[in-house]
Amino acid sequence: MIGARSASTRAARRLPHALAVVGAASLVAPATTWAHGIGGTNELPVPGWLGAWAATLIVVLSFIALGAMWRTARFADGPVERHLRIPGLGLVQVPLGAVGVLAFAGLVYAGLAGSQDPANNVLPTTVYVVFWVAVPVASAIVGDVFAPLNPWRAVGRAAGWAASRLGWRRDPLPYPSWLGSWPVLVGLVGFGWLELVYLDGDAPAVVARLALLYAGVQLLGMALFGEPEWTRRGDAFAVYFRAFAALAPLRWSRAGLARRAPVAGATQLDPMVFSAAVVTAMVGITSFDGFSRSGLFGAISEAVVPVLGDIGLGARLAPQVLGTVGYAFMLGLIWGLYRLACRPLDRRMGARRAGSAFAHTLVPIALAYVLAHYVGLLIFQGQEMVPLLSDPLGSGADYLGTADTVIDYTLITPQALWVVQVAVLVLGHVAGLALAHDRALSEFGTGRQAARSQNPMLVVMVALTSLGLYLLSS
Amino acid sequence: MIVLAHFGHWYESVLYLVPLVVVVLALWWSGRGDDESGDATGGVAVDAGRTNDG
Repeated sequence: MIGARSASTRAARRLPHALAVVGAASLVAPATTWAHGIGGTNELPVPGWLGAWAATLIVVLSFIALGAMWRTARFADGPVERHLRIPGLGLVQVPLGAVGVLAFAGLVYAGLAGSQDPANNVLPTTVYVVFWVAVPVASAIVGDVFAPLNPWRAVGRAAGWAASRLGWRRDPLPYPSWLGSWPVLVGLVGFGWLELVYLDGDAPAVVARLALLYAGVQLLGMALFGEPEWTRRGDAFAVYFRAFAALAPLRWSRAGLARRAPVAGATQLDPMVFSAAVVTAMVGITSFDGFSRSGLFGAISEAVVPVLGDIGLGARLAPQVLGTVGYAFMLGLIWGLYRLACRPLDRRMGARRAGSAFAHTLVPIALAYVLAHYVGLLIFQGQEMVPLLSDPLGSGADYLGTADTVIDYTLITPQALWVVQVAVLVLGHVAGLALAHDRALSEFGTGRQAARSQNPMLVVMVALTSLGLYLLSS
Repeated sequence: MIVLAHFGHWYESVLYLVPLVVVVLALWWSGRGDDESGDATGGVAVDAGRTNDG
């Protein structure tokens, strides 16, 4: 304990000096680099690598500060919650579920019957901007906004209610342990492939048919294993949004609302559902989006796609094969980095338990990656929903009188956007470190042992911070 | 030689690795110092499994 205290004291003593260096650097760096002039949207206020250095420095200093100041596990038994009872809250689930079903039906209809130009059909923008980006961000702020609107869950509940009224109800099968988090992993990775690799992934009819297929699978899962269990363990999107909702300072239930510390809810995520494979995939999918737009991947494509085309894959299949390989590589890289961080703990905890015990620490990083990579998409492409809702089929209609609304590209400057991206990346990694530190304290007891056990996690966080900045900058 | 000739195109990418290299070296150096002073962390008893309900 004496050793632990002296180490912590040393770290605490060094902290103000290090913070002073960071502060000085932050004052000097922008002044010199902004002077280089900013012309296009791709120009950054500081060189990307310098941003990565500053961001990783903050992550390292946060790690030191955690070791020095966070001495006992605070979330070992879950976060402290203050409950506010809201009578009748459970009743709004039915109308919200109906809204979700109607919205789903309308979107699928738009995808099948409307214009097949992705820019003129409401479905692709709704799926890739609102559903995939806005819902996770909203969930991380105000709690799980998808759960009450979940259309297939609403249908499953209604079917279950009707079946019980008609006396057809039977006990659901037990969820098989071998299935684990596979449905979630396959659903998320498949969606990422559709968005990032498949060339027709934004074709409205394709998206609509796959949405119907997904809903059908969910209904089958609910019919077999029961609505609550399947939604909790097998519905990829419900699980995905619930992961982000765990970071929110609000938690909704049928009885009311609970307030808690931000991010702390992640400590309560079930590792059987939010497995290492699932959360690393959440990070990896977004990482590949950045990687696939990087100059490095562009150069690889230029060299490899013609070769693949020449061996018979053709002009359409060749880039998709390369994209699939790159996608698998990025998912594997993030999973490998996480396993690397957990490896020193394998001996003490067992590989399986070490891997699952810290998986939740990647959830804030997944949110940071989503925000950092898609905040521009959300701000600019999100505005496209205004005209699209007025003309959802691209038929020339103007139901709301807003069909001619154009995107306002002056809402945020490229420089401000980049600052936001760097800030959320740093905050996400610091939050991840804090969660990992707290879990290590609850596992290992003392601050020094907890801090030392997290050295590999620090390496991974620094690697992910640098990777995130590299992907944003390139 | 081609790789070196294109140094101007990829050297910035290498700069992103610098923090990682520095942190790895610093932790290795720190761990080495602890080992020499006999301060290495030994086996640690681990709590029973956690129960989560997420």
